[in-house]
Amino acid sequence: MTEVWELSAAELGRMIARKETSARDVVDVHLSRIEALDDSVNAFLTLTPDLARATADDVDQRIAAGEQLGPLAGVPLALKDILCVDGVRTTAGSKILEGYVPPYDSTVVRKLRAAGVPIVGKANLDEFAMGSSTENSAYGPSRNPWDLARVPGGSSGGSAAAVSAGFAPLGIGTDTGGSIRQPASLCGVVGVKPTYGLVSRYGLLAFASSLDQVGPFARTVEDAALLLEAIAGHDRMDATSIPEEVPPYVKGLESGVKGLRIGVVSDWVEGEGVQPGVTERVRAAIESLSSLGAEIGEISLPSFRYALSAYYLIAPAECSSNLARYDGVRWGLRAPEAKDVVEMNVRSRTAGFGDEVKRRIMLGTYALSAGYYDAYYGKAQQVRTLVIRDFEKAYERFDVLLGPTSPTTAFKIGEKADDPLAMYLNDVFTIPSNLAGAAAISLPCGLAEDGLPVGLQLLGPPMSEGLLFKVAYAYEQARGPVDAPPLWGRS
Amino acid sequence: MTALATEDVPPTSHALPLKNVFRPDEIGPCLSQEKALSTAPEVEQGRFKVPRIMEEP
Amino acid sequence: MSTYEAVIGLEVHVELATHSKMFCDSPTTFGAEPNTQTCPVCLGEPGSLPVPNRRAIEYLMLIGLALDCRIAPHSLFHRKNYFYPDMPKNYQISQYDLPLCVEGYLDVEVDGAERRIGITRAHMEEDTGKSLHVGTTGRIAEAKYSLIDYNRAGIPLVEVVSEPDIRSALEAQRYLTELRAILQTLGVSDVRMEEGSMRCDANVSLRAPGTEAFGTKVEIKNLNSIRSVSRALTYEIDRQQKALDGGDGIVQETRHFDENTGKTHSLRSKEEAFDYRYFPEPDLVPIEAGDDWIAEVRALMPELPRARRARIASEHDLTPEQAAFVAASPSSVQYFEALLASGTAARDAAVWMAGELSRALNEAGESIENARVSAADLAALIAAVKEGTVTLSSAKKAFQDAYTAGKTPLQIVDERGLHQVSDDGAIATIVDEVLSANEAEVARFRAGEEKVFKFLVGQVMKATKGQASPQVVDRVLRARLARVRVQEWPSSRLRRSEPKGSRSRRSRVGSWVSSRCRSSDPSSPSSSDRSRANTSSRIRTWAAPTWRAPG
Repeated sequence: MTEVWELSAAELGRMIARKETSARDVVDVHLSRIEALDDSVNAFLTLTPDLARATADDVDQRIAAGEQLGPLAGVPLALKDILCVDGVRTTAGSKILEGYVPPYDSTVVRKLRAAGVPIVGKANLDEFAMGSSTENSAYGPSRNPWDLARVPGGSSGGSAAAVSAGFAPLGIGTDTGGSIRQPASLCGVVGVKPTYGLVSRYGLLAFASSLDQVGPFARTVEDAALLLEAIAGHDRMDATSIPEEVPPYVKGLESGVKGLRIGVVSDWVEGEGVQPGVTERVRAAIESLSSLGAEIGEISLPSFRYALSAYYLIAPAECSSNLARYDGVRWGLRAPEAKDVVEMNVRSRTAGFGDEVKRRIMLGTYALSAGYYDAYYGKAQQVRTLVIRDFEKAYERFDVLLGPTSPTTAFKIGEKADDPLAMYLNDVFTIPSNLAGAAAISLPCGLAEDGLPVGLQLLGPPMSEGLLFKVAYAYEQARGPVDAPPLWGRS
Repeated sequence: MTALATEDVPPTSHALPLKNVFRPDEIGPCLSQEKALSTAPEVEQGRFKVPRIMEEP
Repeated sequence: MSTYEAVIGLEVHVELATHSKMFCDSPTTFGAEPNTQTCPVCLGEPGSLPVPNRRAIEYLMLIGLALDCRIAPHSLFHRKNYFYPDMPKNYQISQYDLPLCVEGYLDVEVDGAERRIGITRAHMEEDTGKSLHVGTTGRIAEAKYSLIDYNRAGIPLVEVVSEPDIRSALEAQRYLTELRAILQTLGVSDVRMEEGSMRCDANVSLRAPGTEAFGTKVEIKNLNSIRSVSRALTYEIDRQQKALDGGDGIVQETRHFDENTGKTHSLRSKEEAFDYRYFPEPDLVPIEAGDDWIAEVRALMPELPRARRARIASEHDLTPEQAAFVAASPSSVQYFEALLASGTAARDAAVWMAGELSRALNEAGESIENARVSAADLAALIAAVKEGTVTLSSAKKAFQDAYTAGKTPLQIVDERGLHQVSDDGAIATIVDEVLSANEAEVARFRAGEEKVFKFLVGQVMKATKGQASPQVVDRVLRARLARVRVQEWPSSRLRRSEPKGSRSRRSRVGSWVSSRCRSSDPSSPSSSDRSRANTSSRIRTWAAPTWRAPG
């Protein structure tokens, strides 16, 4: 018999709406699974059972009163602990925010509340979303439900692990250089990096403001589409929010890929450092799409080899400024007994930030310094222009691009922790979409030779989410159900 | 990256094709003093308390 | 001692009078309880985002247009990064290499000559919070700890940067006065330096006249009034001159102006000049001011002070100085026009505004829109002077007293009995008193010493505390001096020669007498004593204005 926690969000939503189950029961089932298993996964930093149950009860009452609610009303969600919830501790995976309880809701949370989505907890992450494994969390790494000795990816590893482990059918992450897609790939779930500006960043603790974007995790493409519909849309609190109506993504899911032109990014599929099992699964997915009637071609994107370097200047530069507000004055950790405010700032930041965050703050501070700006930050911004141009050229020939999400499957905890450069290479296929502000999705395409999930990445131009969902859905249907992680055998 | 010829390439500080995003000059609700100060490590006289500031800005 | 030329550039910060802050909808109210005018955005709360206030941008554009700036078709916000606890994000959203307004100028008049001061730029930024330094003296260096209020954080701030075209403290003063008048006219700011809604930093260097190269520059901070700017510059120019003459040279540094001592002292050396690591604000998108928008804003442009002064001067035939005062601000023009509407002649209105009104406002530290004497009440006073019922000197006194007492000038005239006395009989009595008290002078006059006449007039005016009509005094005195025996002249004959209409004046004198008594001390003669008045009691009455009303 299928357990409640195995069901998709769409299915749970339908059952709650039809009163076949209650939102309260659905929330309770997930909360007890979390209670039973999260000690080994460490997906959550803070559980919010009261908040989740209050939302669920409200949903049940409104349904009982005959109200027509959204398709996700009552469906539990794991929220990356970098989005503010009024009155709920928010850490960003950092010691520097010790004790911080934001006095306001992020727009995404406001929308989730309006959609009746119960938030069961705040999910673990690399400190301030800087990392690809959650090993940079000040509260210990999350573990991959496929192999508890391995990382779930990052930075949104807690959300990905939670969805993969059956702790919640939905998750929210943020993607600055691949932080949704890479953990989705490593945990065998669906992850969407929406177009920059599609989802409001208001209430998202900024890492790199021009790259950060909030997006959904789910186990099916339909669920991801439903969640994106719920959180996307113009927000007057975010000046970088796109002032357009959100199209209904779910409606167009079944229209197929016949005649669609798909460009395979050739240097990614068989590039240096790409695990053979990854290449093999991606090739199989290409075959599958081809047999569904898509036209497959190959493309090379020369500027992309500079994207990683550009990213590691732009993101640290922005972060060095964004993280300046963590200074012990207004919130979070304050070093005691400092003789003056400067000493207090320095000691609080020294004690509060982890090594990776410090590394990026220093890198970014340097990149923005007078005399270095043009050579580093300025140059990186020019590379960004070239990346955008390469994408534009590619989309003259193709409707979507395709490649792996990550060069490898999940690696062992500790394996790359002391080698930042090896760690940074995890994001080599995901970063270009962030630089271009474009849309991309990662969805499971089977297991590699090591028995771990491989992610297929579909990339599209800005505002192409509907198209990406359609392709992803067609592939997902052709692929059929995927294996569940070993953790599913436990309860 | 340093070797890349970029003389004629304009910088992109933002991939977003937006411009002139403003809000109207209207007043909205404020946080109460209590809530505004709720996150503060130390508070005195309705203000955020910090160790002495040695220099003028 | 060599002479040097001062090279001065001013950076003026102006808080805009918008309803809400620059990047959020918190109010800009001045003087509220600490930390009650804030929201997550202006507190820099993690995750909060700025959205620019359209009106603030339009105010900036208006300022730029008024200063003949070019409005940049493409403009960006940058982040200026530095740590300071009154700045919630530890960066200020400002404009850097792409400000909205560039390359303008402001013409000012100095010693009758026109000087054109270049405006480098005018750009948008946000204000910081306010720190309270707690300790024995309240001075920053001696504080034990500090307390921060973020109510001011995020209030829209425009920075107007001049070219180093200013050559003296006086020019700086004129520039600031004119800039303030423009901002006031545009209605974009309260421009109250004492409340900090207009602030100024000055850059000063010296160089040998005729040379092009700039000397080493010193920046002066904490200039809280136009007068401070002028004082600080005067001191600093002198200090630099002495340093150069003494062969010490100038250190590039930031200096602080001390209001109390009138001196500047070193804050920090510019050697450690801070790198603000400017970069484009990624939370905001570019401003692209198209021609339509600029035209829309330009249409809001009111008549600027310069044009207004010229118009007022020519329309009302005023001197440039008078016009400058009358046209100083829209409110002063309103006041002027209200005076004219109440029947005051333009010249008189201008003289009173530039004289007594200006003095009263300065003393009270108030601006004309809060003038405690209304234009209508001032007009009535001016009319009374014209009619001859109040002398000019009494009127001036009544005006100043009215201003402090919060009454109308004519109320003061009535209460204090400041009506002009043209009653020949009353004046004759005083003249008689004066003549008998100054027999030697009378003799000298009769011996042909004409200048003694002036002295005698002075004595009479003194005895009447300036309330007697000078014409009547002149006439009566000449008539009396023409007689052999002063006392023989029957006062009734003088009365008969009174002009028509003098009855009302007499009755006013009566009312003066009674009110004088009511407000005088109890030992003074009562009004019933006064009704039996003889010469001597009249004299005492004339002396009455030296009595002080209690309180």
